[in-house]
Amino acid sequence: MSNKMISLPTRDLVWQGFKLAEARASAYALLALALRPPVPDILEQLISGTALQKYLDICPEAGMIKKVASLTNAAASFKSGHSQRDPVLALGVSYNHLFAGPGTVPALPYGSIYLEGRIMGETTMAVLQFYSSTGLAPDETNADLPDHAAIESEFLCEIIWREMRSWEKNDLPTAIKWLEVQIIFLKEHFGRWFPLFTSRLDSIENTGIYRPLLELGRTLIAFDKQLAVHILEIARENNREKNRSRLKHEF
Amino acid sequence: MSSNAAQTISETFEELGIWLCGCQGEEWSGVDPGKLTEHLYRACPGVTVRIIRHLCTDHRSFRDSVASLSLRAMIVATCGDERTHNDLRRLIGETGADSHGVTFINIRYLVGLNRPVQEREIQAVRRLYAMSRRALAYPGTNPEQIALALPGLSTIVSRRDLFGLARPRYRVLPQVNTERCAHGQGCLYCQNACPVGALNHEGDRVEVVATKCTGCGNCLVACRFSSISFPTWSTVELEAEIEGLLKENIPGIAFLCRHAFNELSDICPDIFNTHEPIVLPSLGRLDPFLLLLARSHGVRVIIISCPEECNQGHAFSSSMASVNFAQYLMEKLGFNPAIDWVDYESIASGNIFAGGEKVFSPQINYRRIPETSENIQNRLANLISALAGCAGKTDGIVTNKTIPFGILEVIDNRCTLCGVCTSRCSTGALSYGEKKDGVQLLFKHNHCIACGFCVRSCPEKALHLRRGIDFGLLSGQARSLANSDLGRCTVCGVTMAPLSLQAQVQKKGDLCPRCHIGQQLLNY
Repeated sequence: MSNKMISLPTRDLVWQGFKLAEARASAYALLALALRPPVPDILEQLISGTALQKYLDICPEAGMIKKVASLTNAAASFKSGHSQRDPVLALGVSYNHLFAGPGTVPALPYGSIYLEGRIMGETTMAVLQFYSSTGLAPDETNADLPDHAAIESEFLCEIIWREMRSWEKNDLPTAIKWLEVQIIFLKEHFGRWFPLFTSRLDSIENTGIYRPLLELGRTLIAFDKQLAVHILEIARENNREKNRSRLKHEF
Repeated sequence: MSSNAAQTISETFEELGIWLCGCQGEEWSGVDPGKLTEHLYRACPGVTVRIIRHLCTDHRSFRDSVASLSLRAMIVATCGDERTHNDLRRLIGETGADSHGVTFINIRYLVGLNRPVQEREIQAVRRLYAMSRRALAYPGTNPEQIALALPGLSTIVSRRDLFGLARPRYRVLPQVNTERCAHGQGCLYCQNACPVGALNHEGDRVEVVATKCTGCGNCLVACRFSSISFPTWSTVELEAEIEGLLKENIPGIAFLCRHAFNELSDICPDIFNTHEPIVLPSLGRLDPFLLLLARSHGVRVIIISCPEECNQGHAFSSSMASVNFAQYLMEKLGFNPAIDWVDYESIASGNIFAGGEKVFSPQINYRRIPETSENIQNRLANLISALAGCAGKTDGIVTNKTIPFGILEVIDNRCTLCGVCTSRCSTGALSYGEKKDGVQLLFKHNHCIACGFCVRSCPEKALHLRRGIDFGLLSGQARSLANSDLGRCTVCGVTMAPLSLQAQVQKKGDLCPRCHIGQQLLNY
């Protein structure tokens, strides 16, 4: 982990915090989009890699450069390989074969499958409760179970976005609060089962873009857990300093 | 004893025999078996009672006595231990009777301690009456459920046991109904609940591994598809026993395992003077139905666990979930929850349950479902409906993560009535129904266990599921979630697929059914 942020004054921390949150939210937003049934421009987004470039620029040590390249190449190769037919349709078929069905699929994208071996389990209820503890709930028109990989990724994106807004308003305590929520969510929910979900594709051939996508997601989550903790530590230290100097000033 | 008897709760006891040990040892605590017999003839009309002076050792008399009668149900009360019971069970088997359905109890369980003799007689009669109802609810033993009982490799075997091993011992195991089992859809509820890994999910069916199964009953509760049957510990039999116990005005009922019961009988037997015990194979067998049934009779319920880790390995979390739900429901209906969880050391050390004559509301006339097949979910729905009726709550919805029912809705009219969800539903909650010139998707809330299979498999992503109770739908009427007219051939008029489904399919051009559905997934 880079040491360059350790002794930043608050003004620079706010700026860095904002940029990092922006990059992280962008990465999880792309992950969420790609984990849903394919939309028309998904391949273009994956090929361009714009959404992930901010993350790579700020955190080149994340070990994601190769993974992003692998995903970009897979997306480009998929598009050119299916140029005779509709590549998005072909991607949809690939998605259904791996994640949705009909029939048995190798990798169901629900957290409770990996945490307790069933869907709509206790961990599903736990993640739903976690959402509501932050004042959020899955949109009911997104008719799927609350612990779907895309929904959990969207949730993470949303709370990182709220952290970003806090940095923008120079509201350190609120930014700290949202960082704490992210860390708990990564450690107890999404981050616990996503690696197991990824490993389900290890022995599957013809995964299209999905094995590179999940491997990128796994690397992102593993690094991001540490990154969030690091930012939180610095933010707390800065908040303490801020409070100490405010008290000194008052007395 | 005949097998394949219907599971009905009978108030005539002609098919029941009760054997009592006539040794009048200290286990009887001064109770006269002869007098007890007179009380039993009054409490259980038609019952056959035999007193054998040294039941535990006079095997010839016992065997001759059993062979001379042809009875469907038997209860044997001895002063011996489990070894004695196994020996007697073998003797019963030698007469050709169904030995697996026989209930063996230690006399100590029957008679209360530290009470006047007359009260102990009454208590013994009450418990024998309850056990009689349970014994008569035993459905008979299916030969496929019998397996050789072997001690585990890690068990320390005494010399006496070593000699005992020479005689094969058999017992009844849980059995999986493959028609109801959702194993094919990736369900692992029972496997996850089993503390010893006795459920084998490989291949196309679930099998119980006889050499591992300890008979704890966790799987029975975990499988909300009602696909596991386990005679002796079925809900119907336990229901019969509980209702038998609660016919008189007693303050409370205690659910506990055998280990906790034996410990408490030594260190604090007074608790059983105010709380009638229901001894389960393990607390993993506890389910909300049993708790609510007891509460519906207006008594306090306590669950007594061991203070240390359970040697049956039952999951505290599943038992706590049952308790949490029952407490939540009682509060929502405006009743005193009166359901407590304690360990036996806490009971022994304090006066937590001193007295306890107070009757806790509600007391309702719960009409049992006269089903011969055990559908746990339906029974629970029926009971909750009765409780809710008593509380004046006949409509409205409550949602909570502990509720084992699901409320399903269709979003934005997306349903095309393709029928995939009905094929995935293993409980019968979703089905096709007819309407004039069309079809409809019907949902039965009292069958829905919120498993989520329908949501996962819906190609239109049209279903939204949440855990909750809709009091207006608990009694079993189906609600129409979606409907569509059927398309007709423009030439001959024969009906075809629902119009909504045809429209979706036609949008996609020439695609195979798998890819049709794949294309449907792209459009939301």
